[in-house]
Amino acid sequence: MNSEQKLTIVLLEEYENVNFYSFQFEHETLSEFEKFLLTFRETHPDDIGTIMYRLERIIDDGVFERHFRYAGKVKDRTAELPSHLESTNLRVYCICISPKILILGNGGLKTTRTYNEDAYLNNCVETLQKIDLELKSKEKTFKIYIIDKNITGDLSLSIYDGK
Amino acid sequence: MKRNAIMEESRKLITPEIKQSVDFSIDIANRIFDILEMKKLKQKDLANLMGKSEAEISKWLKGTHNFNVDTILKIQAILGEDIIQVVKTSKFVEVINWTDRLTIVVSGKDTSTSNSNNVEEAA
Repeated sequence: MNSEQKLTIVLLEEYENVNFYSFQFEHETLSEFEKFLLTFRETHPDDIGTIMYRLERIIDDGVFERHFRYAGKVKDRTAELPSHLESTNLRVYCICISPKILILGNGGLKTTRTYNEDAYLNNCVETLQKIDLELKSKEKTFKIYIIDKNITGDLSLSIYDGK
Repeated sequence: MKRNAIMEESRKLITPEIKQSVDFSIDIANRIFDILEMKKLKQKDLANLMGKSEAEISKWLKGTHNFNVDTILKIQAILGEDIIQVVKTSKFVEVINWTDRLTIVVSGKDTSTSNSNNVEEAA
């Protein structure tokens, strides 16, 4: 049986040209990106510093593909930080909605060759892929609107295990 | 403008070394994109020039490839433009005066690209 997970897209930070969003599961008090930061801030300060500085540069440049490694499938918009040029094993996964909108998710230490080989990291990416599909579907049916750097409308989503 | 407390706190972990490293990485990627744009080339053209598949070049430019010096030199040669410049140092640098400002006398030819006014070539 497929179990349903309810979540809400939440605005984390807004800047002149870019907005950072994350998502928060029902009954949780923190978003997934906040949980990621709190999990690794003490143990991997340099890696978190690197990811945070990448985000600073994205604030200036925009959410452009050159800042990311690509994760997921060609048809979705999932990506990972940091980019290939920074040598860290800590990865955070995200959805590049547009040059002005980034949805930050969760992540972890990559100890396998690909994220697919790690059940936890694979789940992080798959969750984002499902969210991406849901957002596309809601946008198509005018339940959400992506205008400039904002996602508005019904930001509550349901995703399903195994779907 | 909205800010997030946990993100703000995490920003305190950004050190000057991290900034330097990330800036350098971004500069390399931006430089490659800029050269392609300047020469009105697309990824497909670069792939043809390098004898690689478009998918491979796409990987390089989208950040799934781990650049090394050889790759950068190859791209540099194909595009005919410098991506990275190394500042070459002279053989001997002798500091002879440290009064109101640093005066450096360089023994041998200065091969660096610096235009510093404080560097005087020895006769």
